Amino acid sequence: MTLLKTLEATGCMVPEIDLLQPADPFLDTTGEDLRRRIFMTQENSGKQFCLRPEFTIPVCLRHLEKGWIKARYAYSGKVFRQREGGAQEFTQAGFENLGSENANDADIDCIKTALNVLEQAGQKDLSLVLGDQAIFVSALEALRIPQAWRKKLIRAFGDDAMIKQYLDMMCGEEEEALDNLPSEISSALDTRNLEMLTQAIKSEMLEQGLPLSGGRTPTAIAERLIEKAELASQKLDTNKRTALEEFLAIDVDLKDAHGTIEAFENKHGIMLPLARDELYARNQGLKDSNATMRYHASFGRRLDYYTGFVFEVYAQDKTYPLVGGGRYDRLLTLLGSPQEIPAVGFAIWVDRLAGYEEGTAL
Amino acid sequence: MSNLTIALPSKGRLKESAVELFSKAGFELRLPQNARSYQGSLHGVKGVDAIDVAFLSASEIARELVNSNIHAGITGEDLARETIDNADDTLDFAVKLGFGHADVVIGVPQAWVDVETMADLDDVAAEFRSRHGRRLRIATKYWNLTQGFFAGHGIDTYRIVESLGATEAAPAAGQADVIVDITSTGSTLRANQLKILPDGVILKSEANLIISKTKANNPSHTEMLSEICHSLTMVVSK
Repeated sequence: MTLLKTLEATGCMVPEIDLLQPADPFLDTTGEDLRRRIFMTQENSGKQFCLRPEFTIPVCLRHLEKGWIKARYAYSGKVFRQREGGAQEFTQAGFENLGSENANDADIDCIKTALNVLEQAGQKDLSLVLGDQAIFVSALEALRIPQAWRKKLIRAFGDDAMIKQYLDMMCGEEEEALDNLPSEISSALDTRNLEMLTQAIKSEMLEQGLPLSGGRTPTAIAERLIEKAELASQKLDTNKRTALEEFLAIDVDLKDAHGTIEAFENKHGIMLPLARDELYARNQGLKDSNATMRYHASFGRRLDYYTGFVFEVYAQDKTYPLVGGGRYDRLLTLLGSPQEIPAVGFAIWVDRLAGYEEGTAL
Repeated sequence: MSNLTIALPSKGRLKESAVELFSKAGFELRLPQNARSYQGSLHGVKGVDAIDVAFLSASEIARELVNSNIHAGITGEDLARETIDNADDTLDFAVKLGFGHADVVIGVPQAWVDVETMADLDDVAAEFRSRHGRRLRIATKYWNLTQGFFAGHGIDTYRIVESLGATEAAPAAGQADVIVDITSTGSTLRANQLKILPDGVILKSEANLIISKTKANNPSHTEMLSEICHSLTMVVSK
């Protein structure tokens, strides 16, 4: 049975997704840098298109267009990316589950589906690694990391070097960053009065002929300036840094993850109920699986629409994952949905599968 | 003839400076015979009667170097690096020539009093959509340099608005929020109420003699080019 047929058999629709896609949804959600990694082209009118770089965004757009509440999708086909040293054109198959309210069940179903499809396609010795941004966020809260710092750390989650850089900043010397302010703004800032500060910034902007709407507003600048002043004055004590680093270093067998979190809680006198419950439930839900499974606390994807759990599946001898997936609850709102639609899914790098040859239907 | 082609800028200050440089270095540079010709020649290089000189626009020179159509050329480092990623893999920035100075910089509105570093801009970019309903917009003609630099700072939540002229006016016109552009003194930016972020200098550019590593690959070419480089370096370092 082909990958697609196996997926379809789990109750998935198979939407038709064009090879040529409007580029804006991809660039808007992922960022301008994506332009360097995909193949862009344009109409004579100037409208920009790209060769399909992946399926998730088109599937979500289709879901919104049809106005469906809840659906499971499967796909398989060529995708195109600029990759150094790799093929520019390769096959991806995958699965998206949109609109399922019970997140935990949907997450487990998603992982099981991925493992099942791989096994049906004859892949052996699979290992799974999972991470969860929501657990990291709960750790930041439990450790009472100041709000302004939390935002930065959450954004860096998934990039160890960037996290370290922020931790250094948070523990470092007081910065003199706010010394160059115009005097009226500086004195307004000292009062921490948002309205006064907004006024001061507004007159500065008017003087410079900047539009007060459409871009950053005086209020937005004032709010961030106050936040920045707070950041500069709230340094992180080293105990908290150590605790955070200990947390991020957690890399354990999924069945021990629950116990590891408990030990971490006891050592630092904090509570992480979300982490404990979720890791316990994940392990319960997946315990019949043949794959080895690990929880890695620092594993995440640096895309602002990934909000929760992420996972990858490896074959034992491979450095690249066969499957990447996770929860992306923010994506559909970014694509224009008026309400949040829970979403979880995965993609299979078909050309990395053992026994795969170009042209064969796996 | 030597089969070697060097390209020089065909107009403006860059051309004047390049021509002057070659003559100071003791070479004889013959300019095109008439206004419609772009072909000149260089004399005085050891072991060869004449070297072809093509007079092209600075951006064409960058493109021709990248496409390995010419062996060497004088153009701005900014143009070469904008034309190709990882430029050092294929191009040898052999001699910095000391003219055509221009910094490629990030300019943000002076009214953004909370933004003084790239880290600040990262914060602003990350929250831009949730606050303002769209991504941060950067006006520039330097797509590649901008993307590379921002990626290096871990910033990917922005969109580029292509700007081919008067980039510095884009923020006040509401077309973009910040800009990436060249400046030599910063006065145009200041006149447009923009400030340069101290850690937002993408490239300190000047005119370079650039050699195509893929095109200039036989020993006689290398020898001629190294003689030229040597002579130009002597003048520049004086």
